[in-house]
Amino acid sequence: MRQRALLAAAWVLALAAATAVQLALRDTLDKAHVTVLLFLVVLGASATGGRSLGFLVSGLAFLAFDFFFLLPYNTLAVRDPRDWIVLAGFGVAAFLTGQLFHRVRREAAESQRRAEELAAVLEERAALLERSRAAEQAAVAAKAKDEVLASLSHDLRTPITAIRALAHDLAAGGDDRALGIEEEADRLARLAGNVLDLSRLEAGAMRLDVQPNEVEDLVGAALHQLEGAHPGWQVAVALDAAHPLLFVRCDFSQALRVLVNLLDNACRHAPPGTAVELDVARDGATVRFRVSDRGPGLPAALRERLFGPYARGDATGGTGTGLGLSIAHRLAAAQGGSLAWVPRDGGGTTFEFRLPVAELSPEDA
Amino acid sequence: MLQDLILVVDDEAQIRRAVRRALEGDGHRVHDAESGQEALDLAVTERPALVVLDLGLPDLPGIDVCRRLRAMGAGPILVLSARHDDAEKVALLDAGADDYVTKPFSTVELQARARALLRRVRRDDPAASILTLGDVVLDFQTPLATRAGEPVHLTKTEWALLRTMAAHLGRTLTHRQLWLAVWGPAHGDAAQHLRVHVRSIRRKLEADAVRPVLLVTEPGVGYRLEKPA
Repeated sequence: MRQRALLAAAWVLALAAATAVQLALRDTLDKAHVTVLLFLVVLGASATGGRSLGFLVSGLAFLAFDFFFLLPYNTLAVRDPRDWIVLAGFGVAAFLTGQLFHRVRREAAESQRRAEELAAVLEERAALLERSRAAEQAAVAAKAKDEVLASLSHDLRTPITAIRALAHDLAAGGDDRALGIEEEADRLARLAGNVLDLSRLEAGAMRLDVQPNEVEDLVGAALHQLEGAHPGWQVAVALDAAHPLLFVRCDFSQALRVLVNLLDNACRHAPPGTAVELDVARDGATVRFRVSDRGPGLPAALRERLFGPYARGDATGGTGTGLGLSIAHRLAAAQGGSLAWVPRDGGGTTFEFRLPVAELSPEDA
Repeated sequence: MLQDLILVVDDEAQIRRAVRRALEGDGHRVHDAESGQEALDLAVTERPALVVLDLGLPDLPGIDVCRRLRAMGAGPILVLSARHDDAEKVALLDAGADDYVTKPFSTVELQARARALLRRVRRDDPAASILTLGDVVLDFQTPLATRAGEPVHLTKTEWALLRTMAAHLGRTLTHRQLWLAVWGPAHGDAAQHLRVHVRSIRRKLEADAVRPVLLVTEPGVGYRLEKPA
């Protein structure tokens, strides 16, 4: 604002100076000289100061020209009718100049704005492109990791299969040491499988087939697997009587792994003669599977890092690799569920595995 | 009794050798092949009673070999797979494989699966009209079902499911195979229906519905009807 006022004052002063100088030389100058010089000042004002300053300076120049340089001097009257033509020509030219400059400036401003808009759009596009490229690269990377892990898994399983079979063969020939080889090959295979699964889960490369699955079916498959492998183990099951037909959204095989893992741990830690409990109930938008035992419970220090890789309940159990709970935790999360330890009154451990409820369509209910 | 001829197809010499010894140890005759093409040729000339097929063959995709063996009416197919994902198992069964074992499998497991498949071939009778599964008797002719002598009411859909599974006793049928057989291709999302009906059958026939021994779930793959030991 202040700058504009200063500019206006400068041009008015310039006009005054031009007028004063020419006034001193009025008798030696022709009207054409005067108009050219005044017009230059008007041009300068219009070019630098915008439309209003242009008009102001034009008006002043018009008046000064009429007042000081057209006969009779020092009045606004015009004696010679031809001078009217000069005066009108000067006025119109000064006005048009102001308009023209204004339009040019407006168009310049407009194209500047368009250029800025375009730049903004381009920038946004570039960001989008960058993001989609990043997503694409992440997907390609996940796929590549999956492929590498799958081929690694294949390459590990094939020799382990051969080792197992050959050891079995030797054992049949009466060499007891071969039984040890077979057992260790089994362990190696399980360990390799766990490490590969953990890598898959961490790389986001675990393929899951999430669909509505029926809760009793899941529980039945878990008990079938657990009690089939360990005929002595017993699990006391309590289903939700208020919701006899419940569906959960999960990958059946992976949800089963989580459940079997929890039940297996609980059975290993349960003191002889006590039951491991599996309590299934709907809770809002989830179904919770609580697996409880009356074992020694978890030391406080372990609770913190329970689901980190390589945490192990006890060093004496011998069978664990420490990967079980870590994988179970990640598998639960990958299916939209959760896995948590909850305190148990009266001693022991409870793990709570939750899966989202799948609402049944009316025709199925 | 004539020994059954089993064709073992695997490109890994060690696996071929191990499988051969396991099956010969169980009293079978074994021929082996290193490639899919060799397997298809031998299936024509030797007419094996069972094909043990590895999926990772160098020349042909395992699933194609499976389909072509099935198309030429070869004996049952037992697949050896190094992959553990359900999608592959489902694709294999849908392509006509009868059963699969995943690597690393135990010799005992392989022998048991092979024996079960050969037994099924030898039995080779159409689904009997009366099937006894423990204390459950299913008379598909009448139809009438009893458990421990007590009549059990089954719906039409339940009978259709049981009939389909009884025709393939002991063999896992994929969700898709069951749904095509019972509901037909026109039906929409039968997966949920299937699970509801399976649960209903278990509640009627199993001694303990959460510990099924007759209608068994093959996780992520399908269901099968089993004769309890």
